[in-house]
Amino acid sequence: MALIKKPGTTKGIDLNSSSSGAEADPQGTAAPGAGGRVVAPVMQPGVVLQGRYVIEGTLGIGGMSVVYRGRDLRFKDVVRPCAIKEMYQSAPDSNTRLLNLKNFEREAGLLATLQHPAIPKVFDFFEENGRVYLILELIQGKDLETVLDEAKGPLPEERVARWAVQLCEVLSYLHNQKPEPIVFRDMKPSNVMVTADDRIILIDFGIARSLVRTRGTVIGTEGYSPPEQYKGIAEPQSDLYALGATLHHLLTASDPRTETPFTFHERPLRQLNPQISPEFAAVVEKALSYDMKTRWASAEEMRLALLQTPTLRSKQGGGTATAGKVALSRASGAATTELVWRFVCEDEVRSSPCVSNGMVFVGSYDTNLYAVDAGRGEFRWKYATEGGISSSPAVWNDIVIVGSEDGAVYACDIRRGVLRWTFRTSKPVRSSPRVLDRVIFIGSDDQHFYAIDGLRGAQIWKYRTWMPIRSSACIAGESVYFGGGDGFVYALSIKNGGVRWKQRTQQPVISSPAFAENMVIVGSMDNTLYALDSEGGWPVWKYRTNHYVNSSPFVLGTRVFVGSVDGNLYAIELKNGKLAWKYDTGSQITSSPRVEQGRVYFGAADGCVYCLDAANGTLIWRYETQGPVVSSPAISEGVVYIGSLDHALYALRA
Amino acid sequence: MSENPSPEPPSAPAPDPSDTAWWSDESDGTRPLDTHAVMAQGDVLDRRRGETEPLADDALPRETPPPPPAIAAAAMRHIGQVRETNQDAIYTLISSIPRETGDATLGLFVIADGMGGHEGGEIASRMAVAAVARRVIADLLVPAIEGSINVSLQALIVDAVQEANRTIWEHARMTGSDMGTTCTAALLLGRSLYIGHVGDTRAYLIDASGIHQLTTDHSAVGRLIEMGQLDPAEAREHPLRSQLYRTIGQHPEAAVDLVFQPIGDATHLLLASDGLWGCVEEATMLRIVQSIDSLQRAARALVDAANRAGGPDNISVVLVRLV
Repeated sequence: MALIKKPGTTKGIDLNSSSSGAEADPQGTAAPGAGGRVVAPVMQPGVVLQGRYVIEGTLGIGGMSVVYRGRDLRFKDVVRPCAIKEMYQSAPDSNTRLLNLKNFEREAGLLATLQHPAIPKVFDFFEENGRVYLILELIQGKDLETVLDEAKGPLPEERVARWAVQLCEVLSYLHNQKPEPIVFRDMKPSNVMVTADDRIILIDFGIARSLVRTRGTVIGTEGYSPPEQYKGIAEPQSDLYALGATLHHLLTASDPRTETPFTFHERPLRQLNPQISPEFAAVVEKALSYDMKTRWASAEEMRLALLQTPTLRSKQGGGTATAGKVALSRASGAATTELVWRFVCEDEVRSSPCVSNGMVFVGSYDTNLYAVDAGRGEFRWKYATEGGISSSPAVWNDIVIVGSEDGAVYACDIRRGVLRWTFRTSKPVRSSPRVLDRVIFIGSDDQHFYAIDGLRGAQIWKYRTWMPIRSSACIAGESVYFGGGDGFVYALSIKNGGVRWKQRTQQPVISSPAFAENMVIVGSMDNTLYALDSEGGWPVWKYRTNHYVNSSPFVLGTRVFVGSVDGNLYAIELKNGKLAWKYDTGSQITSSPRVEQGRVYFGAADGCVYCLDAANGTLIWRYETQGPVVSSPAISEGVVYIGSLDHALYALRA
Repeated sequence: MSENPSPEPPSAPAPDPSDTAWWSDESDGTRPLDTHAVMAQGDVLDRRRGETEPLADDALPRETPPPPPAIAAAAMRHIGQVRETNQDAIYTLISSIPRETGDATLGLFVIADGMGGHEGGEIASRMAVAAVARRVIADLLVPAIEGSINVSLQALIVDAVQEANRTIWEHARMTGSDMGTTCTAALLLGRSLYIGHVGDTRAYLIDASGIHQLTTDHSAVGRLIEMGQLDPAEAREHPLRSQLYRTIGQHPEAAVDLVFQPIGDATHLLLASDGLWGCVEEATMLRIVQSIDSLQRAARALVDAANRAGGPDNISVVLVRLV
């Protein structure tokens, strides 16, 4: 019995948990009164029952019985060991006592009628001194829970598969009993013994019974028992569910008793243990269907399916073939995409393009802001600043705005590139402009963050920090958020630049924040992606990568996408900061991802532009440029625009 | 009757100064400005670090800070009508947190519902609230007052409950006890709730539209109700109603549910042990909370309702006003 409800306490308690069971002080040796356990009356070695069975030691204590190792004295010349199961009554309620006795008698009667190598033989059943005893074949071995505990991790698939076949055989035997099938009802690792030659034997038939289609409340063990058993229904398919749960536990070492019940489908085998073959996982998971009808129809059907899995079909086959296959697919999996056009500048394109009005705007280290026809990549105009451009342009109404290494912010007419205004700061401007209404927000290496009137290029306000500001702003509600070289993330009032809050990270923040669900998401050079409460800046969650997070997060739906210098593109759950998937480029990522139509686009230092499936992070295509890609993509009408340090701006088929 | 007839007709609303563009542009907006001149002007201003430097003519009003939050809590626990001991433990804390503008409020509210013989339940529930409170005060409250919050709040509340689990597990192993407890710890900071939860003590959020259960009971019966396999009325009679598959203190590790919930326009947070929700309908709880203005009296009325329904178990309630 897994669950014990004790008088005077509120909750039931799982006393048979693997951990507490293994670690617990044996009954009787604990200091008196220290624990609240019901103490079973344990017989001492040497006690003889029926003048025939001598107690040699205690094997285990269950909820309602004690099992002893014993010896049959009638065989004088040989040692004939046996298991002596003694029922004891701890329940104060007489109805319960009667029910327990009936269960015990049923177990004895049931076992006496069965004959199978995986079921213990019954030798005797009697009452002595008001107690009831069952003499059983002694099984030499360990139960699977102990095997699992000792392994301290998942058990090998092949071994589990061989046990699974044997368990199907014995279940099939039970389910085919006449006139009514017998349902075991309590399949779980601790009820399965494994012998030295790796044979399995079912133990504890305490609640097994012939199928009687009436409602009862005997449920087996939480975590392993199928949902229908909670409604008092137990069919042969119920044992298959519990078998599936048992195999799931053995293959993953994830204890179903501590997980939310009936959530196996949310914890797929291969997610918990990728080494399991898909075929074997499929057989087990079918047994775990919530609905009885969609499980295997019988234990025999499941056994045949198990025998068809590669694990059991080719025992001599090694794992080398699959390893080779994986390596091959990785090498040949370099699907690429179509180049729409390529526009070459005179120096590196670190700036990220901006698409608007059928034109692509991008800055280059050759000092020019370029306007290129989006459809054909033809040159429209350029405006030369006095320094290289790494800032990314933004379009507002009929002007395009960009910062330059020369310390100025420039606004040019989008049609011909005529200068409208300039706004000078005293150090290079590497932050990129963000526009709200007619106000432009931008940071500068001169340590200031500026709000500029987009019509006139006049300062509205400025805010001074301690270090250069290379992060670009995110505007949400009444606040503007950005990171500083001083390691702070700032929230300022858009109206007057008043500080709403600032929150420290451990290193400079170059990444630009994203806003979603009242959180400000931003990376830091302390290797961490932060989700800060927009109200006060305190971290809601953090996600740690293995290197700088200078890439800017992109939020779509329930996920945050961000790159790290550790080479991975991460997809992280917005709500709790848990990893959904990651993709390792083997290079560095400072480019910021964009997600469009279920695909994630970004560049990496290996020169490639990547396109991944946003749902699971599998590679869809990869396009190789001739230089590192630190620029971030812009996507418009099925085309990805991105710059490369090979001096070119690329337009690729999305 | 002192009804003053309105002496004046309601005057037309004064033109809202915020209607005018806040960048207060006076020019026609087409003439490029001499930004060098503007910059020169800006340069003569105060250059202290960390200071906002508005333009010389500072016509912008200072931002009005939001009103201070009116967060308050009442907590009560009662032995009920049947039990010999009270195995529940409760804890509440409300503190202000300094922030650049508009200090924030931090609240911590915990209920633990203990189980186990020989005083194990009392000990376990007390240890759980103590462990959670200690962790939150040391790792969040003290740093926050010092102005350097550095922990992730989601991780903090989960870790705090896990620490409670480890503490009780160690203690139970040393003493050979079967003790255990539920633990539902709600951390309120700003406009968000962070709830760490194991067991069947519930957290509810109450707003104008009704009462909403935030936590999921860790009982198989609760899970079957959630999946629509069991009728809630049927479940009340289910023999395994209070059997938990997850508890604090009974395994070396505990999986802790995290609920992250912006409070939005909710008016109250309610934590309730099963001694309350097991015998008082949600609609009744809602009616009591909404109809009684005083938190103390509302908490008392909730406990009374459970006792009137037989009080089969210990009753614990923490009621928090959020607006």
